[in-house]
Amino acid sequence: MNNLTNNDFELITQLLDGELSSEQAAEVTKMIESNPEMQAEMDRLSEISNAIRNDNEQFVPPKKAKDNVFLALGIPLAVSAPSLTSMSSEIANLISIGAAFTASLLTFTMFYSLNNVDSSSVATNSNVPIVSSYEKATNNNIIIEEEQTALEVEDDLATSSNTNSNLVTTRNDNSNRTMRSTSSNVNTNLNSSNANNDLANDDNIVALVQTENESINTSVSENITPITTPKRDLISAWDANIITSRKTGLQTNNSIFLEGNALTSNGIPFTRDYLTIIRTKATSNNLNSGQFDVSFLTNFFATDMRGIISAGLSWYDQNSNPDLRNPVFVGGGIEYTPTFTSLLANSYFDSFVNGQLFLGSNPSYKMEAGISTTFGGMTNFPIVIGYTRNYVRDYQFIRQELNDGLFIGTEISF
Amino acid sequence: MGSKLDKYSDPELFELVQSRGKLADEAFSELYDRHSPRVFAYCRRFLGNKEEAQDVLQETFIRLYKSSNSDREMTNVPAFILTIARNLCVNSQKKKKPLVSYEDYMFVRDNNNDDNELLDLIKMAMETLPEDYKEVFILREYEGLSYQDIAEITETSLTNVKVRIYRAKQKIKDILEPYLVDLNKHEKDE
Repeated sequence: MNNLTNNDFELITQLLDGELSSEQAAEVTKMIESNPEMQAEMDRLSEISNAIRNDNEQFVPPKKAKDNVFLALGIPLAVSAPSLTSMSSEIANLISIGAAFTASLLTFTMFYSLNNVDSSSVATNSNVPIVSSYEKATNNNIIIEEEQTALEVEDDLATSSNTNSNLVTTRNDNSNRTMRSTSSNVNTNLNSSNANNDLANDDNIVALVQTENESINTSVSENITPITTPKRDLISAWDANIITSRKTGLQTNNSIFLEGNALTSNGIPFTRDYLTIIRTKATSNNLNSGQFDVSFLTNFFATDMRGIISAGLSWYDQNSNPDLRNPVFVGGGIEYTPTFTSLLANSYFDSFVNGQLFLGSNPSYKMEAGISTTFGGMTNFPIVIGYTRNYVRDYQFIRQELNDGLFIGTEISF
Repeated sequence: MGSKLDKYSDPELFELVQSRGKLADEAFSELYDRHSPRVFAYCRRFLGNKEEAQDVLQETFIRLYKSSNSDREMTNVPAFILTIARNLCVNSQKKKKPLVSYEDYMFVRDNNNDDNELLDLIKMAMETLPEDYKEVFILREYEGLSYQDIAEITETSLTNVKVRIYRAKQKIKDILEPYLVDLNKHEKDE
C-alpha cells in the first residue's frame, strides 16, 4: 500500500518537471533516495514522461493548410510553400475576372438565344427544375404545359431538391426554352399535418413539406396532383409560391422558392420572375455545424427589356465532414436593360452588370466578379444585392474571406 | 531550402509582419513554417481529429496574422500562438461531441505495436482525464511548457496548474500502474 502523501506526489511531479529550485530539488532528491516508495513513484512517472518524450508520432500539418491560410488572408501563394499552386495573385485575379466575365457573357448569350426560339418547336417534356418563368405576354412565347404528369413533376422536384447549383445551371442551360411554372401550377400539400400546413391554404402559396424521415421523391409521386395552369396575365400584385423541402441523410436541406409576378411601369407591362433558393444544412451527427446557402435568380421581362441576374452567397461553417468540403455552385448572370430609364423614372430598380462563377469542388476555390445591385420601390419587394470586386475563396477552408466585400439583403413580403 | 528569414527570432518576425513591409508576408510564412507543426500536433492531440485540427491550425494562424494589426509587442510568440490554438480547441471541443474518424481510428490501430504500446496506453488514459487536466498534461508533457507558461496560456493560477498537472499525472499513472508493473517484471525476467 502506498503511504505517500499528496505533498510527496506533488514534490516528485515538480521535481520531474524541473519546477523546483535547485535547493528544493536537492532536498527532494535526498528524500526520494531515502524512501523506496517515493523512488518507485518517481520511476513510474519518469517512465511515462520518457515514453512521451520518445514519442516520434509525426503530426505534419497538411500542405494545403498553409495555402488555405494564405488564401484567406489574401497573401500571395508564391510566398507560401510551393504546394497547391504557384499561381501568382495577379494571375489568379485575372483568371477570376476572366471567368466571371465569361460566365456573364455565357449566361447572357444563352438568355438572348432563348429569346429567339420559336416556341412551337419547343418540347414540352424537358426536365426543367422548379423555376418559375414568365414571358412577356405580348410575344406569346410562354409555353405552358397544360397537363403535367405526376412523374414529370416528380422528376422536376427531384432535380430541384438535389442542389441549388442544379437549379441555376439547368435553368440557364434550358436552351429549348420550355418555361413551366411548376411551383405555381401544381397545388400540392404534402403531409398536411405538418406545422407549415397553413401555408398550403393560400391559393398562391404552395407548401411542400416533408418530414425528415421521408424522401422527397416518394412523397411527391404520391401526393402531387397536376392541375391545369391558367395563362398568367399581368396583374398588379405579387404572388409567391413557397416550397420547403427537407431531405434526410447527410444533408438536410431547406429551400424556399419565391416567385413574384407583375408590375406595370409607365404603362409598360412587364412581368418579373424571382427565384430564391435558401438552403441550409443543419447540424446532425455527420455535421459539426451548419451551412447556409442562398442563391438568387431574378429575371425581368418586359416589352422592351430583358435581363437576368444571378447571385449567390454561400457560407460554410463546417469543421470536419469531408463530404461538405467540396460544394459545387456555378452561377452566372448579366442584367441588360434597354428600357432602363423608364424603369428608373419609377425608381423600380438600380441596375448593373453582374457576372460570377463559383467553383467549389476541384479546384476548390471560388471566383467571382463584382456586382452591385439594388432593387427598390417595388411593392412589398425591395431587394438589395451588393457585391464588390473579385475574390478567391477556398471552399475546402471554412472561412469566408472576401477581398472587398459582399452583401445580400432582401426583404420579402408576400 | 531554408528561408532567408530563418535567422530571425520570433518577435523579430512578428514585428516584420506588423510592419506590413516588403518582408511581411515572408515573415509570416516563416512563422507559419516554424510553429505550425507544433500547433498542429497540439491540436491533433487535443482534439483527436485531423480535420478539426487542421481547421484550428488554419484559424490560429489567421488570428495570429490579424493580431499583427495592433501595435502589441510580442515577446513570447509560441505561447501566444498556443494560447490562440488552445482557445480554439476548447471552443471546438465545446461545440461538438467527440467523434473519431475512420482515419484517426486506423491511425491509432496502425501504431499499436509493442514499441509504442505504452504510448497508446498513455493516449487512452489521457482521454479519460477531464478536459482541464488533459489540457495541462498535453501542454506540459508534449509541449514541454513550464508551469508558468501553462498558467498564462490557460489563464489559470499557477497553483491551479500545479495541482492539475500533478493530479493528471497521478491519474494516468494509476491507470497504467498494472501495465507498468507488468512491464518492469518482464524487463527483470529478461
